[in-house]
Amino acid sequence: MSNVVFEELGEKEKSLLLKAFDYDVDDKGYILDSSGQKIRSEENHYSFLHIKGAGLMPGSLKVIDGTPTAISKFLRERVEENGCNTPD
Amino acid sequence: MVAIPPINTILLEIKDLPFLEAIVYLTGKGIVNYAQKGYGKLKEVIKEKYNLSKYAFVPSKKEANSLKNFSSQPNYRQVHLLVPNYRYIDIIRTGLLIKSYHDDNTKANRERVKEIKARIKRRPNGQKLLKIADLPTIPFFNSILKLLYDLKLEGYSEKQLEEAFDEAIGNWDRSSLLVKNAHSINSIVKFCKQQIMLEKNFFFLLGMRTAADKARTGLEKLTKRKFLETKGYKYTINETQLGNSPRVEITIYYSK
Repeated sequence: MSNVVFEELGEKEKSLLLKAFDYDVDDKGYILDSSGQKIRSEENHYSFLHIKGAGLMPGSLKVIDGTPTAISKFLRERVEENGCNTPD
Repeated sequence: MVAIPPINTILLEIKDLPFLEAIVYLTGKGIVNYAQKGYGKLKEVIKEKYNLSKYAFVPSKKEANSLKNFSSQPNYRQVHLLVPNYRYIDIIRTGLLIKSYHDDNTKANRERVKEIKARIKRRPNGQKLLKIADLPTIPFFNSILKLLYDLKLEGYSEKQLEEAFDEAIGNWDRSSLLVKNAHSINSIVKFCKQQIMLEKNFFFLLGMRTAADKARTGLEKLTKRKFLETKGYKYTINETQLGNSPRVEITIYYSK
């Protein structure tokens, strides 16, 4: 997945995309999994993923924290060959 | 309120649209879910279009692209080379982002740094993670990486390097001296001797511009009569030039 394209998306569009993959969004903006449960943040187990700050990643739509650290993790694990880009 | 077109019309309209245009079209028509009869097909089309795309949707495209570019940044590459499986390597990259915001010191960037740090602080073990995130912003970051490199040459395993890295993250602020013009040579030597007396595994000196000479002279005094050697310490000195300004980074580490 070397050519991932980062983009921003409005909340209505994000919500519709999430629903296509059997997620849902409650009236407070929290993302729900297919069983209707709020999804715990991987970084901070005391909080839940919210549509505003979440990242929606390709590969059958994976929902992650949208923080710089979570995006870095995604890049390292899923995008960069051997975890590091070689310079051009 | 405009009526939503029939499902067949919608499917026809989005058939050849790329994912982004298709989803914007749907929300523009007032579609908020796939609960209506016949919308199962629409759901499948959106899934298919998304899976064919390479989009990762993030809160800030600019920030995500910066993070992507940091993978070829020399210090990040060095960390990746030395401790590729370090548990908090992604925090280091966040630290590079923080540094880039420091370098472009606008009000918005300062606010963003506050937000990023507040999020990190709330994580379990947040204080430690904050120290890691700060690492790329401190003047001793290069010295710490140089230390790891030297230790790797000494035969340290990856796990041992990770432990040394953790130790450096925890202790650098107490084990480093940013040499200033106001420092006397004796005070530099005294700092080093204290570190040795405290049995520190490593410590750092950094001198920039006119203080570069002082750091070098302090080291020379310390190495006279093999003082460091007899105490079991080795040192490396890295002299660089930033424009017209010399920079001397000295790493002293225990190796016996």
